[in-house]
Amino acid sequence: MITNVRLRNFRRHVETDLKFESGVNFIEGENNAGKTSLFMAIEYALFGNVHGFRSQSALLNRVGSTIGVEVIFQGKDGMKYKLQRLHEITTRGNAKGHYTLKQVREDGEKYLLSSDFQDNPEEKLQLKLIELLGVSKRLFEVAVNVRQGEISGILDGAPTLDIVLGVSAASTAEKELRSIALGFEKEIKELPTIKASLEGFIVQQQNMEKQKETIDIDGLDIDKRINEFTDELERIGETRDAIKPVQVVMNELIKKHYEAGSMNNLISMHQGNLDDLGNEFGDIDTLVHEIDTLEGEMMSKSKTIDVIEVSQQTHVASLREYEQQLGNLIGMINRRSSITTANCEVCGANIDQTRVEQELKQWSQDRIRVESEITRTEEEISKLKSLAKEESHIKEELTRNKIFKQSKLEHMRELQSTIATNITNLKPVLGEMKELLASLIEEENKLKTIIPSIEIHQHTLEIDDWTTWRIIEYGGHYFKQITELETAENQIKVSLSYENENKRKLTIQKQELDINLMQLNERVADLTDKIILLNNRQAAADKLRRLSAVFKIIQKTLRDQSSTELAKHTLENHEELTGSKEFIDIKVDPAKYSVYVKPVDLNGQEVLASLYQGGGHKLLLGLAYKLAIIKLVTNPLFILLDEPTYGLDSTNKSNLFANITKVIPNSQLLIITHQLGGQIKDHRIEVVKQEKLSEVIIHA
Amino acid sequence: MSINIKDLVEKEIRDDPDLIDVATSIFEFVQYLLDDDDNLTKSGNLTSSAKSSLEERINHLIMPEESQ
Repeated sequence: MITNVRLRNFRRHVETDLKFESGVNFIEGENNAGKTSLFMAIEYALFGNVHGFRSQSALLNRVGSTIGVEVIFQGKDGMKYKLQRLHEITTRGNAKGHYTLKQVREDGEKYLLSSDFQDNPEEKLQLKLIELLGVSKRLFEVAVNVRQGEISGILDGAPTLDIVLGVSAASTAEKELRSIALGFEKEIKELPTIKASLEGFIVQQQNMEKQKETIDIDGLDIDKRINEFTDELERIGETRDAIKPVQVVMNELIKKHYEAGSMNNLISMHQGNLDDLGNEFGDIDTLVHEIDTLEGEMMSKSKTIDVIEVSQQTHVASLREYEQQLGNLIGMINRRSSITTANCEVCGANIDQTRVEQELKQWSQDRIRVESEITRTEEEISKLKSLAKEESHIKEELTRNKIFKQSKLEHMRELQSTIATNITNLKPVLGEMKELLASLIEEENKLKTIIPSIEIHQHTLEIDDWTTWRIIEYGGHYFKQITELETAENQIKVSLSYENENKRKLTIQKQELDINLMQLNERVADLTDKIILLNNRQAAADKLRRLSAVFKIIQKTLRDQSSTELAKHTLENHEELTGSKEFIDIKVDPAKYSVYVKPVDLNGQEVLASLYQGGGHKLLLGLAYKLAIIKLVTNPLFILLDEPTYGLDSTNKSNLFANITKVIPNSQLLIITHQLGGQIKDHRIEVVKQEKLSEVIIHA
Repeated sequence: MSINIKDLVEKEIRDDPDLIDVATSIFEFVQYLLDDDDNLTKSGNLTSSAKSSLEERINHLIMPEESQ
């Protein structure tokens, strides 16, 4: 039941407050006074728009910019509710709407819904209103809001009745459920294939797990062998480390041995040389004597050469004299031979020719003698020169011999000194070496005692007893052991490398297997999810199929029952409204919902209602049909009737007003009329036209 | 007598109370969609948008665990 309606800027109503009572409420007023706007306001509040109006802006009057309607009603549960709706209209005519639905209680109001805080706010409100009022938008349009001039038209049926009666909903639900089920069933067809794939994958999974276990076992074996090899290498390393000092000492020992041997040889060699030099010391004295002899001979030769040179000089001087004599003689001879005159050209004296000839003869003889002397002297000088040369040569030979011998002597003396120095120097070194050898052997012996794992021949080596072969044999013992260890180590390293390679391959194999297994697990999980999904889809499809079948039955039931019940209620309603029985029977076509009547006066002949009767009768039958629809669909809390008596005679009008509450005794009726004529005593609301606006006067 | 969908559904589905509620909810939602002309094509069928909305609602009601 609607108890209050408030309008703000709604069409002609600037601010109108209405209060309704239970039972019949009449709204009267002259034409265009704003009566129908009150029903429009209720429709607007309930559904957000008004049939025939495209936009809310068309509902706004010229006074304000916001339209608002508040409806307070009592729901099926007996509780009071307040529905407020408004639209802000922009200057461009766009409308932005809001609503709130509150429960009105004694202790205050409680918000139930608000368009500002809901998802799908209009859907929520409509479903709530169906729950609270039993009125859907379609039912409101078809039957609850009975508009002027549309009453009798319902007799030809209305396609929307299928919707109002729920037939369309059942049909649509049946089809949609079947369609969704079909979609699911199409998906489900894959299920056996997916299950087979899953089984195959699970077998693969198990095989991979087994392979993984085998790899793990192999890995453990390899790890064990690697550990063994590593331990063995460690032991070999420890042994080698233990042997290493002995090896170092042995190497040092052998090295020193050879060095000491070399040193001994060197000393022996020098000693031999020294001895040889000692043997040759006599030779040194001979050499000194020979040098002295050579010096004597050289002195003698020098004297001889001096004598020869003196003699030579004498002969040369004689030669100069002879040559001078010869020159003088030749000159005199030449001058005497050239005298052709008898007198001297200088003094003029007479020249004695005989004397001249004698002098020439004498001088020629002297010349011959002097020339002979010159020849002889020259020969003598030549001999002396030759002799001097020979002697000089001998002297030079002696000198060279002396120098050689002196050089040899110096060399021998130097060698002697060097050897002596070497022997002097080497002797302490040799001593040190021998001491070093002794300390090395001692160290070796100490090492031997602390390495029980190494079998070492226990030698007590006296330094003097050293022999090369013993050293080599002794060192060889270590070298053999080291070689054996190295061989073993190399073999183990090869084995270890082999095992490490195996381990690496095994690790790669395991990683690949893990990746494959992970991928397989993902695929198994996907397929398992898919199977769960498809199983769920199977269950859902079964439900959908079942519900679809249910709605198919409901659809038929609704259509069949509805037409029967509508016909029955229409007949009853008509009889109540008119107070008379005009029809034997009424039928409703289940396909189109058109009404057929069997009038009393046609002896049971069935005719289409809309063709049979006049306006007033059709209006009453139409109203009876509309009320039957309402009663069939819901137990209506209120009904809006806009000019339901238009075209009725006064008798039918009176009967209608008098009997309508009998037809729907539990519903509130809001009836618009301008033909009341003061005959009704119920609650009346008068709508008065005030120029372009409306005013309401409530008559309690 | 007035039409009571729940009674009709219960008559057909007696063994599954949850399914009765599901059926009633589906019916109410379809009825709500059909009540608004904006959800209908000229031939009176649901628009594709309304169909999607209905399919979503049905899936939610039939398989609530998948809708979460």
